[in-house]
Amino acid sequence: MSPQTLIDCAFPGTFAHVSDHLKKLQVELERNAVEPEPRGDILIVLAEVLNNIVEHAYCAPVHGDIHLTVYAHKRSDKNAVYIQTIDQGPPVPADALSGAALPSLTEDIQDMPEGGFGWFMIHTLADSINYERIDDENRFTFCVGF
Amino acid sequence: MQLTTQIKTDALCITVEDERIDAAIAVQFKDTFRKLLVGHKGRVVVDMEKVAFLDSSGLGALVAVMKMLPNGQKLELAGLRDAVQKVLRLTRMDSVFVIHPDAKTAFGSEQSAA
Repeated sequence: MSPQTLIDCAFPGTFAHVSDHLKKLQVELERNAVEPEPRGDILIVLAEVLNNIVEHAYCAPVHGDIHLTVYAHKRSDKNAVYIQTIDQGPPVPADALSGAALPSLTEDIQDMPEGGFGWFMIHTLADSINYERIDDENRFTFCVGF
Repeated sequence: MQLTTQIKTDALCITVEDERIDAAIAVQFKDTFRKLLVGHKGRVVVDMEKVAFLDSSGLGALVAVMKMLPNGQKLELAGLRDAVQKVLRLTRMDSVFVIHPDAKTAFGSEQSAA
């Protein structure tokens, strides 16, 4: 079967728009009979990827759109969902892409980390992560197999 | 974002009425809890039965709420759905919170099922 486009859209890079589009995508995944567990994994990867763009590419004063394409490829041996994002934020430093370590959990509750989980979850749940900088745009592709 | 609060003997049971605790509401989530918890000294159980989705910002917000509790007290979470439980397990934060199967269990047998 050829890849099937689940969503192809552009929207302003804000947390509220990301949240709205994730709800739509959840419906699309349900409609395409993606089982609950891979569906949860795909939605988490998407949320972290898109929120990273809002947080790092479009932090004030830079604002812009996120172009998101998600397609499903169902084959007899393996199913996968591909997530492509394009944003016009500044280039992503190489060291920001590699970090897949969990923030260390401490004994003292006041020292507990409140962030730094996003990239770890992306690295854990995605099979591949590809980054390209083309024509002043960041292009990410993530694959989640199931 | 909507929370429903039940005041029990020495405890608060706060039900999250939204389906998502995500980056879009994380700041509001923390602010609302900060106001709710002023002067409270007992246990705090967050009933998450209606929450189908938690992202890393939502997880960070729960950690921030736990830090609002006095004397290193742990935040208690109840009714975690599979997708939410998976995020906690992946990040090993399931060891940081006290986790109950549901709110009824969290309050033991002296509570009615109401």
